[in-house]
Amino acid sequence: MRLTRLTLLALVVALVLSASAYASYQYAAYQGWGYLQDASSTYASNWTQNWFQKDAQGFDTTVTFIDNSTYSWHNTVRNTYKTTATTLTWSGTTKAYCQSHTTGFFGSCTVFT
Amino acid sequence: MRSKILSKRSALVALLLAVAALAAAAIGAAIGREAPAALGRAAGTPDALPRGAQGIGMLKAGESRRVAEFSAAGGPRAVYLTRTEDGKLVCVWDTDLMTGAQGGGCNDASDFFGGRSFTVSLAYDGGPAVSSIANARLVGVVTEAVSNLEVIYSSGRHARLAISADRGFAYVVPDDYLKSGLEPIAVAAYDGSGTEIDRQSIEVG
Repeated sequence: MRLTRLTLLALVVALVLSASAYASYQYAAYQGWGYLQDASSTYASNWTQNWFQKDAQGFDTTVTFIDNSTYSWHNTVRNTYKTTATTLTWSGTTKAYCQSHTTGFFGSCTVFT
Repeated sequence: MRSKILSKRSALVALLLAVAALAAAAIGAAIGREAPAALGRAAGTPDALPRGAQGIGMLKAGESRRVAEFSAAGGPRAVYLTRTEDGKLVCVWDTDLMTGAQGGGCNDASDFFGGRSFTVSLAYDGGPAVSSIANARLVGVVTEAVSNLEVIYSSGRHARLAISADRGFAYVVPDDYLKSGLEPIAVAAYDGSGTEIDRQSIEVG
């Protein structure tokens, strides 16, 4: 009986933790990138962060969010860091977008809720 | 007598090791392999990240240092240097002090500058058309070798970027420059003699 209660408690704790944890969605799989190659996620109202993770630094990339009404860009970041990252502060429905401005590297793009 | 010889030998070895360490540090600085200097100083209260800026996933922040402060549209901002919890990455964040929202990037802690004299990140709102971009900002950190830093515009105009004591910098591109088609195209670094030692292209949009 005691074991059952403990198991139940553990299950409840796990459910609470998983509900409050960030979820991620890799919208561009790890691949080789070319000049001006890009990718975007689906539209959603709960995206918070967008990353372009590369296998090395020195490659110019952009991450941003594009809204679904004016198609304007929000919280755009462009740099050559190994990971390029941004946080969305605009409230509305957006898609995460990533773009390469160079060639010769591998990487992936991920958006978080 | 023997202990005196041993003592002299120990002192000589210690001296040689110290010289080797200094030489390695100097070589590291010269070729841009050193870690950002601010992470080597003691942390104070202002170095703590604002609420909402702790990072997530593999970029979750461990230690942090505030290396520059500035104002932009929307309020006060700061540049933070952070080391991820696992110690593998060092990140530079353009941070909104009111919301904690951050943009920037991370490099390997073992080779943060990657042989360059500085890092730079461009952030902005609006676009992709240059005329609709606002609140564009350049932030980053420089190595000890850099004495001066300049942003170069498409017209050839130059503007000096202030370097903080912690070797950070932040610069806000005037909105009217972008509206009139004047874009930042590069950032250049100069050593103490005025010689250009690094230049990195910047492109808006």
